[in-house]
Amino acid sequence: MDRISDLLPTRVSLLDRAKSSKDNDSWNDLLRYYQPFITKILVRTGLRGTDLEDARQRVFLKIWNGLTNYERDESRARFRNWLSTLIRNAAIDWHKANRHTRMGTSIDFISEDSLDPDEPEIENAIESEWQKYIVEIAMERLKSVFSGKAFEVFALSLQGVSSDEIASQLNIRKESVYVLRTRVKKRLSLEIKTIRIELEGDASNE
Amino acid sequence: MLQMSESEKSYKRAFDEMESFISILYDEADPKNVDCEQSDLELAPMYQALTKIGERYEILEQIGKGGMKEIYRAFDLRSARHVAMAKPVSSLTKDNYDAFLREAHLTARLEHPCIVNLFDMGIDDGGIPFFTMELKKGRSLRELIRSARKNDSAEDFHLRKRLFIILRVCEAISYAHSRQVLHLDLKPENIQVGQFGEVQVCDWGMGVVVPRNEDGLNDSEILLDPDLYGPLMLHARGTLGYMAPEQRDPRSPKTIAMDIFALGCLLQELVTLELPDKAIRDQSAVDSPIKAIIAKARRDNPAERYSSVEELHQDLSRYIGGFSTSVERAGFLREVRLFYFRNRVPCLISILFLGLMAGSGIWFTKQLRDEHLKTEVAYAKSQESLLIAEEERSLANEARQRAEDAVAKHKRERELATVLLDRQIENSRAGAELLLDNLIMDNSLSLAAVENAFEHMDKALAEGAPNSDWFTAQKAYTLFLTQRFSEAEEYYAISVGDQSDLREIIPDFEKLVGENGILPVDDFIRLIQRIPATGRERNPLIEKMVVYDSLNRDSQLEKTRIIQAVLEMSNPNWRNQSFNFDSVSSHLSVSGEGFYSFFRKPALTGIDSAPNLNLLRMLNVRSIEIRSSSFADLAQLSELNLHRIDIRGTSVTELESLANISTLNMLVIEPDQFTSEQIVELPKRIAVEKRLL
Repeated sequence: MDRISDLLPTRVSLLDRAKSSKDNDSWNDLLRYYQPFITKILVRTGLRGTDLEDARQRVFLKIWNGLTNYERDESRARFRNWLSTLIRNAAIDWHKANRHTRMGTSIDFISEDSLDPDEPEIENAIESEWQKYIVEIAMERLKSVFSGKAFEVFALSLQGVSSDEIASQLNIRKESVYVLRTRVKKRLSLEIKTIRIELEGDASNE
Repeated sequence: MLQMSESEKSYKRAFDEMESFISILYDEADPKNVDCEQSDLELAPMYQALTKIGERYEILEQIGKGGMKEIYRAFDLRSARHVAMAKPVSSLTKDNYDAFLREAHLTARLEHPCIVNLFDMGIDDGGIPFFTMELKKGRSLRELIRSARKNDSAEDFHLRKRLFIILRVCEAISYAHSRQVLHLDLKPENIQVGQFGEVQVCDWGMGVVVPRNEDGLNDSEILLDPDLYGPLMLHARGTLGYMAPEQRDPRSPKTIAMDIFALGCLLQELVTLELPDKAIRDQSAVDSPIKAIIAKARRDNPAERYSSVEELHQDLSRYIGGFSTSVERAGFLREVRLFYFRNRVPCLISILFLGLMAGSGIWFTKQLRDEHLKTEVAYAKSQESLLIAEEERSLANEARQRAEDAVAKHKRERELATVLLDRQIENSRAGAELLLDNLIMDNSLSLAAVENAFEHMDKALAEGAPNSDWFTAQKAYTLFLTQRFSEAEEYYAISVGDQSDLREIIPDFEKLVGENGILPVDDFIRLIQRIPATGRERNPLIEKMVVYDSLNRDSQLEKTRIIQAVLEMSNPNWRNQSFNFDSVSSHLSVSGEGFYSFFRKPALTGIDSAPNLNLLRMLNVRSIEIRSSSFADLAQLSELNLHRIDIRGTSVTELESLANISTLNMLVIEPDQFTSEQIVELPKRIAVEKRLL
């Protein structure tokens, strides 16, 4: 019963709802959020077309089955770990089965070697991709609150560009730069947190 | 994805630029991390501010002060704007709060772009009522006039601009009248002019609601009746110079004619940039139509003024638009010409007749002039005989000078004393003295003045003022003045100051005070005759004692005797005294040789700074008959509301000061006492009756 959850639209995370009830709506909501992410990772391991679709279905199925058994306990990142394991395994399975048919490589292709369960590379790639994904959703959701320019102000300030320079570069008042800088930061941070609670589960609830 | 909108590109750019910071952003927003949801204030400052407002108003500075209220500039945190906040002055108590709130209710009745807006009314944490009004950036008309006069450059405040201001004021007042509200305190101080020429009439504290019809006022209007609120409302009643003559009498019914008079004064001051304390004369700089408008609005007789603000407004806008006004003569001449052409024959006959009449008139005038020459010879003779009374005459002149000084001082000091009454200046000796002087200044304030003086001294004593001995003696003095002799003795016992003379006579009088708190008339007269005999100069005290006594004494006959006794002291050579006042007809007749002054004796030592006013005001004399060859100075009567003056048998030579007595309509003189020029120059309202003595 902390203050964070008061600020959220729903107090129970999407994940928890999908897990506990397995009703169609919560499940579909969850998929809608995870699907783009899962797709993105699978594409990066080299999957395309029907192969990609197959692998994705497999991952979903595993999530569906595993969700009931999945218990968050020691680590709050546990769900993500579990998820990346699922994705990785799906990719490995596919690569093993299709070694002979494999065509070329994509630029940021995750090498077959790196799919080795002991290699942290895929783990890291997934983690960073997830983070990016979350921030992207947060920004998307805040489009009704901040203009693109506002985000640019924030981005530039992150890079250490001075307020004067930001003001002249984006052609806005310096005072507004100050306001936007902090306001975007706060609001974005709040949104990321909200999304994290929704999609990763709220560890603090336990 | 053929085309990306500019804003989409912008989001994309921002995201790309954030790329390398994403894990930082992500980690900072850890749900376990409580820091990041800290201040919602920065996210939605306006909304958050609203939810957190405890105290709505933040008082910033005092920007004005009136008799009853103090005005502050305050910041309204809820609507994030500056407002003018009125609070009752600290001396007001719960009993006076309704009198204070009355203004807010009056203002709330009025919604007009040229009338200050009421925003809010309420009670603060301390239970003190307040109300807030629109606060416009701008200056009061008084300041504008002052700076226009100083710079001598009417450039940015030229006549046209000034006339537009008065038009706006007329519109506001006309509207208020349509809502049955009279302002009654119009003056430049109460008009705000904004940066863009917006005009606002403020300070409706003295306003009243007049009944719409025979049925009188409805319930909520009854609460706005100033009569409900006691002496406070009397205290603040109008401003000299802007106040219609009939308004000086607080009991006279309030009418729109009073506002119209003030609008005339306002117009005059705006046009001339001079205080309108006198009726407009031949200021050549002023266009005659404007002069005529001012004169009509300022007529002494309310019935002769404009009958509505609308009429005044019409005349002014006609003037501004270049048309002739209703009070101009041009229109009349045109009418005459038209009339002549319509009725040529009868007109010609009339003109012939008029010619004959004029001829005989000239002959008559010549005869009259000869007659007049004879009169002048007789007059010179009487002048000669007057020289005999030279000594008494010079005394009379002195008295006259004193009277004039006193009136001027009266005006000046009354202002000062009123300010002091408001401010309750801490521990100030001058404050206590001036408060007490209010006793003399204004009958409607007198008893309150004594109360205020007591309060002031008690406060000073309670707070242990450094000069507490002086205050103790002063309190004893005030108690003595109000005939509370036994109490006075208690304070004298502590500190007698320079008043041992007064203390000495207490034992002879303290037992004689009656149940009504005052001495029997004979004892009182004995007391005031005794006071100067103690060797000190106590004439100002005597006047105060007489005023206080008169206000508490019921019998007119006794009051008359007391005033006669005081006048006996200031007219030491008064022989064959006769001093009779008929309270039914309010007629006073004074006679006897050597009578020349209606004032108390001046203090002999030092400068007499105490006010000294005509003592007859205590009797409310309406008609006076003076028979004394030593009496020469009519200016002494200026402050009285006289209707009839009979000065046969006096040495009065100047009649000019009679113009100041606005109530006067009858003057009785001897046939040869004054020249016909002198009589012609008198205001028309004064009828002159010549009668032999």
